[in-house]
Amino acid sequence: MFVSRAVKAIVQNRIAVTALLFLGLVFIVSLIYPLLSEYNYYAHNLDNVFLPPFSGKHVFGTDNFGRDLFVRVCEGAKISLKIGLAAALIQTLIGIIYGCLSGVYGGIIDEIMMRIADMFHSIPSLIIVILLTTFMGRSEMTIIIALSITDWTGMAKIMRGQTLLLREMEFVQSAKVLGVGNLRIITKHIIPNSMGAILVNVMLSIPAAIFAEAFLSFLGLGIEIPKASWGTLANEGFVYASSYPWLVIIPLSFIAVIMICFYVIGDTIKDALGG
Amino acid sequence: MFRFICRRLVLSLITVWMVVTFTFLLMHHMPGELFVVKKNVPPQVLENITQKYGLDRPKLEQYFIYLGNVVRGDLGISMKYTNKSVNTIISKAFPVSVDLGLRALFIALSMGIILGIIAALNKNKPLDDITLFISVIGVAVPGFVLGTLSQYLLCYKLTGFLSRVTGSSFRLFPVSGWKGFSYTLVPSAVLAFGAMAIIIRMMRSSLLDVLELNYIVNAKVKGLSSREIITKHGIKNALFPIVSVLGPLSVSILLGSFAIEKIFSIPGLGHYLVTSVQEKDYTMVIGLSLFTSLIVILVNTITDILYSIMDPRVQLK
Repeated sequence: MFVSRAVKAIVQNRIAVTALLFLGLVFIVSLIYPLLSEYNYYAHNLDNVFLPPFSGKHVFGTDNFGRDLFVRVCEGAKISLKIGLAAALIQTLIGIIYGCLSGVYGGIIDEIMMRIADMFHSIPSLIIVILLTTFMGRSEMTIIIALSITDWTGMAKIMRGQTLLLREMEFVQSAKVLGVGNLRIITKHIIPNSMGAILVNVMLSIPAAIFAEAFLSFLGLGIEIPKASWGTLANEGFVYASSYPWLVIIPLSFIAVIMICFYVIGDTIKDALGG
Repeated sequence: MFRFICRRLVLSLITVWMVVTFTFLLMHHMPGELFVVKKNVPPQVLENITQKYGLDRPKLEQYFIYLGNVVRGDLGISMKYTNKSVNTIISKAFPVSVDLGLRALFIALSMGIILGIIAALNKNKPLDDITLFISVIGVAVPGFVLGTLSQYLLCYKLTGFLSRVTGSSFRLFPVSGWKGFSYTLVPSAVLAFGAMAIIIRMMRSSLLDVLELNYIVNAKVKGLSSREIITKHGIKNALFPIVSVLGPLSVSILLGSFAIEKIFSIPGLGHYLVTSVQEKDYTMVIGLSLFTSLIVILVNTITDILYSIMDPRVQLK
């Protein structure tokens, strides 16, 4: 019900459709780029360094090691989107479980759980992520884990609110009277009826996670070479910004446009579902 | 009121304790065993950190030594250089970060409120659409993207063009550094942009809400001019919600400044944090992260308390 309403809202909005198409295009091209280009993202070619865009077969030009930037941007898209999606989904999952438990049990447990969430919320997640990646290595996995365990409090609060609201409704009350257990009430009644809020939150978490990863990588604290997310590419290109601006402008444009796309889609869904 | 403030302070103290303990655990129990391997640490530095962190003592005692140091305001020493401590770095870098942050906050607040008012008063007219466009860009596009692009366009291209045209060595917007007023303009404007976008949206919707309330209608009936109504009643009451986001906005400006400091080579906290991560100066990373977290917790606590004083209803939540 919520999903079809969200889809309908997107289809009816021209800007949202464009954003969705662009996201789809980036996603598909990042998967099938080996068919489009003969280059790979790691091989150096020192005869062809700093080629400007549209020179020969290098659509986006080449970087300081002669690597094809188009291929590197595609590879970067894979990494950025993977980290964004994975971190957003894990965050949401943690948030749903935490919020439901807190709301269903209520009382002193609820109070303690919410104060703990408050504390997590007031610690800057970026700092925690920097600390964790510094000490645990900078693989994709640690970045996903670090992002997931720091930013779940928003979803937890929303889910707790939903649970408190739904708990008092007649259909949940009657299920309780019939002897249905807490777990079943959560999975059968509370989560299905909160799908709207969950969907909105996921759509806002994905760009937030992509942003966090890009931010870290741009500072040089993210994914390590030769793998490269968009943030890493921008960080590498930044050194050459004055002479070879496309090296930094192309990856940054992708970050910016993808963020705007997610923002537009998220906003459309939010308006449709009233989240 | 008093009870709320006390509870909020206790909660913050527990949070601080949690962060301190977390950093301690991180130092001692992470893979890599920071204080066990000790390779590449100069002997003099090794002696210093052994003394400072009590590494020759039992773990529990080390914990209390660390806790005691933090309570006294001593956040540790570098494990790369003999003459560097976390506190000397902070005393050098934090004023710069605060300077940059306050400039950004000032720009964000003043421009955000003014543009928000303009948008509200021109609801659904072209001016409203323009501010909507600005705020979508500001909310969706990360600050470091805007920072790099504006450095390229304003500092390299525009400034270069101007000094070529005028033939003088005058630089309108210097590319990087932190040596005077002209150096601060582009970085603080870029840093302000995201926060400004949020303030525009909030100011617009809250002013529109306020203008529909009964006492505004009453003021109209009394015969006040619309300018008087907006300045005397509308704006004053519409500013309320802005205060509630001041805390989160200051925090996002502080953290956003890390990237801006990198782009414009500004010697602030973020600059030193990034450098110490890259130099694998772990005790420095811990110290600076701890300091940043404490500042963030402090800002959050202060704004919560301020807001509860301004609007006593929030305590009931």
